[in-house]
Amino acid sequence: MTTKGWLWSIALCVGIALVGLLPSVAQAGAPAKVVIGLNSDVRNFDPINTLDTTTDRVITHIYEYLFVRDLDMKVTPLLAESARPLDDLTWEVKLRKNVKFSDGEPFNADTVKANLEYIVKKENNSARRVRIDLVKSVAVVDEHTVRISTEKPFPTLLEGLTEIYMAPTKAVAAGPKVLTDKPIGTGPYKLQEWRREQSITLVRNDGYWGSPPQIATVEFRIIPEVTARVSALLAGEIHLTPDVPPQSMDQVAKSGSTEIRTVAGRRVIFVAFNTLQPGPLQDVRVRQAINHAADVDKIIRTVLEGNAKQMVGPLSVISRHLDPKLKPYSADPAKAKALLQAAGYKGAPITLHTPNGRYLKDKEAAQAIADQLTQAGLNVKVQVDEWGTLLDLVKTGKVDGMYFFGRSDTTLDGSMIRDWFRTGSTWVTYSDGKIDAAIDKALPIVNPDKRRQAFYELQAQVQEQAPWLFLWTQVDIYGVSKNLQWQPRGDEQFNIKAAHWK
Amino acid sequence: MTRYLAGRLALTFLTVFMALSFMFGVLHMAGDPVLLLVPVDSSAEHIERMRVQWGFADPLWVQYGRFVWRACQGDFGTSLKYNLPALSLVLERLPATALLTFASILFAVVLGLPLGILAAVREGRLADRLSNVGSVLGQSIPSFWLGLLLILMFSVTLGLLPTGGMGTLAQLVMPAVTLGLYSLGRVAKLTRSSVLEVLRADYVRTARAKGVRETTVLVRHVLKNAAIPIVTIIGLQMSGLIGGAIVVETIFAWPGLGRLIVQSIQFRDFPAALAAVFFTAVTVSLVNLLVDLLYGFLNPRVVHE
Repeated sequence: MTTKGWLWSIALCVGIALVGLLPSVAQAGAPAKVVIGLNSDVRNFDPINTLDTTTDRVITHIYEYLFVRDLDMKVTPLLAESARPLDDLTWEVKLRKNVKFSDGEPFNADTVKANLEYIVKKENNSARRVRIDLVKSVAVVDEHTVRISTEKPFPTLLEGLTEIYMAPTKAVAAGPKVLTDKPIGTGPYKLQEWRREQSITLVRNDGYWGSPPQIATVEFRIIPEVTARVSALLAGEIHLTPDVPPQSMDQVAKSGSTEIRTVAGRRVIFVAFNTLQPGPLQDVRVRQAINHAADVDKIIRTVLEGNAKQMVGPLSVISRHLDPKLKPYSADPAKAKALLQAAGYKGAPITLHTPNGRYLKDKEAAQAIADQLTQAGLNVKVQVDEWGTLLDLVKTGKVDGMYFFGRSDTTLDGSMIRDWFRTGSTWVTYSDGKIDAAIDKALPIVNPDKRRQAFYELQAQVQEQAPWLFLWTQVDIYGVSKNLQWQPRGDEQFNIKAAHWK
Repeated sequence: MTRYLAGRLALTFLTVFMALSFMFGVLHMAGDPVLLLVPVDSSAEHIERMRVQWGFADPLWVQYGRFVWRACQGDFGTSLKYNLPALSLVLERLPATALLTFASILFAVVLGLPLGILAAVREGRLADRLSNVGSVLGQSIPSFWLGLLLILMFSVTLGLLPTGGMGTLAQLVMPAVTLGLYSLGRVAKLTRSSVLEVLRADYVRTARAKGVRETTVLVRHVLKNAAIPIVTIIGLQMSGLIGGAIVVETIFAWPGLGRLIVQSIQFRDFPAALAAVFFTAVTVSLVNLLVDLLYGFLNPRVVHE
């Protein structure tokens, strides 16, 4: 290159650098808002037709529930004041007074009736119906009291209500789609701006009924690439981000301005067996052998770098119905081999389907599991499936062999066993008449002690029948600015209302 | 010329129609979108109801007929993920895509053209070799690697540039450079070989023999005649960048068309995917047409009939 050429190149580099200086000068000083990095955008702001983690993480700042989980995941009143069962089929809920939506509409018994009845009506196709499907009707007793009738005893109604938002009566009557990009809630924040696939900005709702949040503005910034998201945290552009990959934890912890905060989540990870198709997995001894052949603890330590808690039976480690006396399957290849021999397993091939990138280190973990199973004498081959394809295979029951999968323990109650193992439930590829009968018996029990006992027995039974290779409950890893006072929650919500700068 | 244009436009229409039909078939072969759009714990009954509501329960040919009929009226349906008109989702990505495409092409041309000319003029010397190495590097560095490296260097370590997003000029620098580097390499290499070819032509020797100044020879005689392949490659690069900048858009959180296409395919958001493909097909066809028309302008010997 000529001298002139070199000069030009240098001038260009300097020019680029100068342009870059402009915004960083403007960014100096104390942060005016909390910026949270997310990997994808919300679907929209309709609280009745959406139900996914990312959307909920944002809209819980705008809409509120009747009941909410506290940091220990205990159900506590929010827009409700109290609730008590009148009989096995009726709950009376007292509502908080002097609550208004951000457009001025009052929150009252009519609001609750309109929302719940809209959601449970099948024709309305609400995504949230699954949470409260046993609700039959809502009666308005007075302006601040409702009675909720259920079709069958519904001991987990309050847990279900922790995922049902209250939208204004007018909006529900007009069809909740009117809230798609213009949300109206009772919550501590209001939507200021939504730049699709770029950012969502919320500002404090000055008419909020509770104590006003200390953080005035929250921005959710969409950064799909995980390394770029971690870089944005290290560069101080964002203050909080979920799902930091284990390999970046060290970098975040050592940067000086950021740190890692973790919490045991409620997402359970397992390898499910398809026992509806003929094959070796129909034999309980083969399923038990697989549970003995896998060294789950070792995979957690190596592949996940310790970021998971081993499951004992079929319930998440933070479930209130987890039996503390239950012991996990021992990692015991010799026992596995003996069980396989007793089952007459002759090396028939078994496929292990796995998604790639859906769950923390899913593909890597599946490969490690396959290795361990192979060493115990099983003939396992791993097949990586695109997520949509895997869902298709599982839903239609066509998935052959076994598959790496995750479910969320939404009620944190033993009743999840129904969703995960009851014959005919969606995404269930297992069927056992005895377990079905025990589930049907345990579900409607209202008395807390008897209910706990029934689920203790049930989970022991499920563990013995081994419809899954029980793996772990995921630990959620957050990268956070050191000067942000904020605690991660087991239900993946941010709850910025409770956060403040140090 | 008018007949030529009309013919080309009819061909464009046919191309777009075929691209859409192909995409429709492939998307529907990939499987059922409903499972990805409903919550994982939905009941089988809810899934079935949604399938009916979104029209996926109808036979495929009915769905195709409905799609074609509506598309002819400019209606691509409602995005299943966002619950908003699909075409407006695509159109709101347009400024971002146009800006990034333009900036990266500008970067590639402003640097690539002089680099290529320099290499040709100093054939075999150090400048040529350096430019050659640079072009090869530009074409062979994977953009995801370069992008992340730039972020680590300029955002995390030096704190000079924002890691991503769109809005300020500073946010455009790294995506444009990452995206433009590949095109830069191609433009430089092609410019070098075209210029070299023309430099050996008789009329250049004649011009030099007449004592015309070297700069004038280069600009008037060489560059204009070497321009056709260069324009072609710029057009090609541009077509590739529209909707094809997926990696760069993802790394730098750039809200462009490429990311919309990939996301809507991952989510099986058919209306959004088809609207995006429609738009890309139309733009690429038009850019190609424009390049062909430019040939005639650059070289009067090319006649469109």
